[in-house]
Amino acid sequence: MTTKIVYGLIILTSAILAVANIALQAYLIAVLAIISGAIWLLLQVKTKEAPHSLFFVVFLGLTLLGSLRNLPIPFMLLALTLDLAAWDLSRFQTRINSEEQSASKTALELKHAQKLAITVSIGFVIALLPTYVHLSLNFVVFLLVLLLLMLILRKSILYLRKEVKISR
Amino acid sequence: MKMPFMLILSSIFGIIILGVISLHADVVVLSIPLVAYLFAAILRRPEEIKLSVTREIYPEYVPEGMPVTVKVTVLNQGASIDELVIEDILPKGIQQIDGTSSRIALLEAGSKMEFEYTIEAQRGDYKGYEVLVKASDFLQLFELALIYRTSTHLIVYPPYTKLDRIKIRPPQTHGFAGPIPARQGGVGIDFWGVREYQTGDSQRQINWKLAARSNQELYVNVFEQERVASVGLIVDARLRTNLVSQSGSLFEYSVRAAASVAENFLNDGNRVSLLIYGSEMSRVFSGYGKSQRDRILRALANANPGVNYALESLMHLPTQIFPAKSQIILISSLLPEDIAIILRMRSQGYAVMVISPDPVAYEATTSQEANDLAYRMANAERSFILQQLRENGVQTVNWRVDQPLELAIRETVSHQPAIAFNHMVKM
Repeated sequence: MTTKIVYGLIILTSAILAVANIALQAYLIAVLAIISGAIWLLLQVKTKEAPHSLFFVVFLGLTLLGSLRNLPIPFMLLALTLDLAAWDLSRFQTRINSEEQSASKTALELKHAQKLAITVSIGFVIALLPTYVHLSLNFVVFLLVLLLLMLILRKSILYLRKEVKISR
Repeated sequence: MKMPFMLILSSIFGIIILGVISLHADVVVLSIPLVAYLFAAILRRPEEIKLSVTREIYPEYVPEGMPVTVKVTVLNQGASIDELVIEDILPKGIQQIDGTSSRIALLEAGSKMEFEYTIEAQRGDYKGYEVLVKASDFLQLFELALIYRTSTHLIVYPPYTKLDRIKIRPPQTHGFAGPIPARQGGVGIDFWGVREYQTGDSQRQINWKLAARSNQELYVNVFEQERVASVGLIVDARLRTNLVSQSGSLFEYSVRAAASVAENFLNDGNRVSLLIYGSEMSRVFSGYGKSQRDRILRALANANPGVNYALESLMHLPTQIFPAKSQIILISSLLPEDIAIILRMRSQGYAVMVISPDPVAYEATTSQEANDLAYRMANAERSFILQQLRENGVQTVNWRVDQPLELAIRETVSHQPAIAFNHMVKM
């Protein structure tokens, strides 16, 4: 199951970046995206132990380049989210590669895919919000809001972890 | 810090810095999915591992080369773990032949995980095992590793071959019937002598030919009694008598020979004791039966060659621990200075047999240089040692370990009959 998802994610990431760059007539970057995707896919098919982190960084760079060249941000976010998921799942696949096929392995794969899907979806949705909601803030106010956000984040992590413990 | 964690963290900071430098808000937005990813990992990060690891090994007492099944059960007594990697660390000398000794699984609170695999172990006594446990969040950014120790006991004893009855003739035997000639007339198979007829003797025992020659006197045949005896096995575990090659250690052959000989004598009902003389002296007291065989095999499973400067020579061999006038069987590849000690044992009244795995032939087989001068000289020196022992009434088995022990004993002992007790020792 994981293998097929990884293949799909690599193809999608590569395709989105290629299409977006072709639309911008940046053919060289489009070709680079396709070639990187093809190599990653090939290595993934052949060895299952491709240098995932390298390809993750390559696609991250391409996404950043696209953002700097004012490509539509939802596309770039989608490409980054898919790249992140592909990287995570390919690492996961390497870890479970030696494991024999069993019910527990299937359950592990399913749970992992579900949790990852939820995580990246939430990240994608939250990241989409700033593209539709625009706020003009003073830099000092921005810093204060950032500080507040970090505190809230810390508290929420502690709270959620405690909740999880109690529910167990 | 794990590499993926560092990569995500540096990516987040990199994106933010790039966005700030380029004054491009869209770039900063790209960091949000990565922050969410990191947040999820922190949320699911394992804080502690509370597991109960148990191991079953069956069978726990096996000969070398037999497959052994190991079953590991892990019970989660703490919180749910997204990804748990269990790696059973195999002790040195154990080889996995089937199944897998590591597992990765999701382990809910209170649930358990089991896995089985098959191993093959070298001779030894395996007491402690380690299980490496790694718990991590489902994104594997944070990991907690622990080592659990289990104390299941596995004893792998040396394999032994069944030998034909080894003919020995110790000066003293015990009262119970057995296969060893007792040097006393009575009920037996081998002819011992004649004596005058006494009232109550069976007519079947009368030696009619002798009676016909004598003057109205009757004589009866007397046979040699056969009884059990005490046999003391000495295994030479000195490091300097051991040879190690790519194919293995000569000491392993000594251990196997000791196991075979012990089995042989115990099967005949004899009392057998064992002394392993090497880095220390470990001893199994005299006994008989299956339980004694197990005791000896356990001691042999633990035997290893070692250095002890106090025990460099057989001079300190405590022969007095063996019953007087009993049979001693020394299993050693022999050094020239050992001759005097072995002859001293003979002079003390013991019947001595030496089973000597041939180190010269062993070295020659492994090094493929059997024709050079050094080999011939070593061979001559060894032949001289063995010859001296034979001349002094020591039964000597020169065992080329590439041949079966059975063959070596049959060939050698049949040509060297057990020496009578009162044989002169040339000192």
